[in-house]
Amino acid sequence: MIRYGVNNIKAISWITGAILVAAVFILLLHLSANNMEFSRYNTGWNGTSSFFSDLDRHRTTEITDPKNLAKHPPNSTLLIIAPQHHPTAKELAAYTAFLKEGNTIFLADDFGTGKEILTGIDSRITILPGNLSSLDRRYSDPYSVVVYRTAEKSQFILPENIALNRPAALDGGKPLMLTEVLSWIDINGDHRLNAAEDMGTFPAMAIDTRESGQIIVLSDPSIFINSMYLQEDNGNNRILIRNIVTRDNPVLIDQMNSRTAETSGLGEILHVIRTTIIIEIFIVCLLMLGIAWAWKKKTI
Amino acid sequence: MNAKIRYVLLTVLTMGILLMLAYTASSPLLYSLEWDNFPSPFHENIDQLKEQSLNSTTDLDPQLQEFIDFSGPVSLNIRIHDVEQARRDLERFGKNQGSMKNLVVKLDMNESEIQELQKNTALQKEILDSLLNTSVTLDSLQTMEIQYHDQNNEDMLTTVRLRGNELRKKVHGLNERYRNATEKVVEVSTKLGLDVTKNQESLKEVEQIVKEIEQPDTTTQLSVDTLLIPGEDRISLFVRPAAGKYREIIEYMGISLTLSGNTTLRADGKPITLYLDDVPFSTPVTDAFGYYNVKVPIDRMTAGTHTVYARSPTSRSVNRTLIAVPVESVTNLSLSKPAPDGTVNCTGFVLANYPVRSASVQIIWDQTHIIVTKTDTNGFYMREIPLPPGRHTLVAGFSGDGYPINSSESQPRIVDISLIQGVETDYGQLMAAIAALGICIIFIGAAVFYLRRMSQRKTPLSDIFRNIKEDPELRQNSSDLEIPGPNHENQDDSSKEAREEALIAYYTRILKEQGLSAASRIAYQHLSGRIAHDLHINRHTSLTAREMSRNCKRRSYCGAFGRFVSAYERIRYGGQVSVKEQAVLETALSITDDQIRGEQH
Repeated sequence: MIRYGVNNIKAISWITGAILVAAVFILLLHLSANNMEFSRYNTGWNGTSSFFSDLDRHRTTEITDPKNLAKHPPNSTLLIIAPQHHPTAKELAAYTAFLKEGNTIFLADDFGTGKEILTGIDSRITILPGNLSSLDRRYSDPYSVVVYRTAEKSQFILPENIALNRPAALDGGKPLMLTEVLSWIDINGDHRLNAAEDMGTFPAMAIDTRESGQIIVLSDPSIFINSMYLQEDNGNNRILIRNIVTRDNPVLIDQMNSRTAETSGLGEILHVIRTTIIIEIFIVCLLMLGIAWAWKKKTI
Repeated sequence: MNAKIRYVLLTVLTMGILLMLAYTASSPLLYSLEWDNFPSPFHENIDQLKEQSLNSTTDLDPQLQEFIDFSGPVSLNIRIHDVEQARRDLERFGKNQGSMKNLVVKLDMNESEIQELQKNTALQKEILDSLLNTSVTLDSLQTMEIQYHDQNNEDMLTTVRLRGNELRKKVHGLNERYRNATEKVVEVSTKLGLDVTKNQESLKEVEQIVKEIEQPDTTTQLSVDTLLIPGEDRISLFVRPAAGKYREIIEYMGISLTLSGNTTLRADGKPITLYLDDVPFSTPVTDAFGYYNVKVPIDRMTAGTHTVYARSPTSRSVNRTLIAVPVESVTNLSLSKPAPDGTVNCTGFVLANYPVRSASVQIIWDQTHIIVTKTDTNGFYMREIPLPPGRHTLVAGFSGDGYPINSSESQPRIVDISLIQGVETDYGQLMAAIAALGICIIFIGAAVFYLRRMSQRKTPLSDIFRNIKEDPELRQNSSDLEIPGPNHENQDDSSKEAREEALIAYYTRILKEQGLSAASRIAYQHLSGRIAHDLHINRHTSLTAREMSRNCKRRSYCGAFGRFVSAYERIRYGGQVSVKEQAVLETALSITDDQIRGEQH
């Protein structure tokens, strides 16, 4: 018969504690993640957790209020990824002032409210309705369009081509990246080329100069999602993103309108805790109190 | 459940969790990308797409069908002299031809049947193009021939006839070439499973067109443009169609000729100015044959009849009439949520048969204030309007002035501007703040509760003696033990002495009456109670004597107490009731008692 002494009981207590900690950790990880489109807290295929995880915290600033946009260092680049809210007058004014100071706005959007932002800041670029489709594709879907660099110069070094995922087409501005001629706008959404849909080259990335700043529009925010960002065969996409976010100039990430800021449930609470200093201090105090309590219990 | 089984299960669970953590440590994704299959309106799951084969050839079928079908309507339109439709179809045919050419290169199908199809449809397109141009030129020549005939202008008449004969000779043999190309197209298309009906029908049309060109119907009478202004230099103008709606395309075309002696010269590269109601609106240039052609949409002009004419540097055409047909319009207005300063963003559009560009839109609020803005190239407009606090009604209107478009007005929109300026109620943030506040309150309450409970649990000395009192074994002798009250700390030294003396006497009496084991227990309970009180140890009665001894630290009496506990355990639990053990116990008791007293002093 095996005897379970004090030492055995101690070991079991440690193991039980470790299991409980692991379980709590996994539970928190599970509850703090979500499956919302483009959300930075979404670790699934349609989230942008990997992109945000790779950002340099020292050079990247999140913009959650239009007032903060005015506090940026000069020659900055503002990334607006998948905007979903209708821009307010204050936001539009902040964007316009930002451009006036010679900065750059990089807007990645297809079917969100990017068109309203472009109109609001008087850009000549507009996003056309309908899925851009092509026979020149990366995967077995006409919406996985490959677009090619043009001779037009931009401040970002562009790779020779990038793969897009359900992009729109652009109109206006100077095209930086174009589809091959075997492309069309799938107006009726049947994934096929029909008689009413003309073939041709369509811009998917364009540049426009406004005041002394620049507006660069990419008609597909999906290049930032995990499944596109992590794919080995989409290396050029990562080169483009790296060239945008790792330049010497500061990078600002718009979190006012972007779907990337979307949270839900416990994730939202954790987000509030992380972004509210008072609550964060309170939680730290609470943890210290808990540790002190546990220590006291141990000594008894 | 058996303890063994419980521990095995615990071990298995532990190992499982540790393995899972190790597996996900490098890439902490709990959800596999491959298994996450829900559809998204924004993008496709690449991991799913990668599992499907890349086969774009099925996409070609509609394109190929459309491609081979072009020859049918084009030939028919040439045949019925619908030149404009034929030109438009040919233009689209040309675009698709370019796409097909690239497609063949892209798919590396140079030796394939598609390449054969592409080559022969290109030939079909070339022949149709040639037939269309010939047909149009012959029509123009025929018009001119009749006109010059009426004017008895023999020189021009001869020139026009010679040119016509040249063109007729050129179409000879085209039908044979077209037949060969069509047969090959039909052969390949049938193999690919495409419908060749329209392409085959085009063959009959082409044969008929060639026949009509080679043997013109002498009875055909074309309307004579008798309005050409007489003179040496002449310019004609045709407007097609003669009526249109907003932004519909109107084609203006004609020919400019210069008579120099006996020679008729075509005005090559001459600028022609087109006038609408005496206002110039376009300046095309003639080509090598003296023709000019320009397409201009109906834009800013009032509805009704307008006069159009063309001018070359030396001549003027007759007046033509263009009718702008009025269309209905719709004006839309949307309001944003008011900003904290009361500013409202007004957006909307003006739409007729097409979006109305650069149109003036009046936004009227409360029927008293009028603000004018303009639509962009897509018919959209946006304007921020600062409004005072209160309820306001806004209406957007398009007057239609200067456009062939009727006026329209939006539905009235009502907006409430809060009296408290600068305060915007964000319910999401408010709820988050309330939740955060609630969490804070709950935790503060819990902390306060805990602290109060802790302070209540500081064991007063009275509790220690109460424990002894409540022990049924000892209760009968409780009268011998002096139990201090809650304010024992304020008691004077004499009462403490009395209490301490009472312990020894009590121990002695119990020793006599019940033996060493019971007496040692009384002594232990008394000492442990005092030590627990001194060291602030909660629930000391639930601790064993050894645990009590282990928790006794940083006090001078702890050593003696340890020896007392060892003797106590030997007597109480080991059954070693002997004089020697009694001496050891009583010595340790005495020293501990003295040292506790010393510490307290």
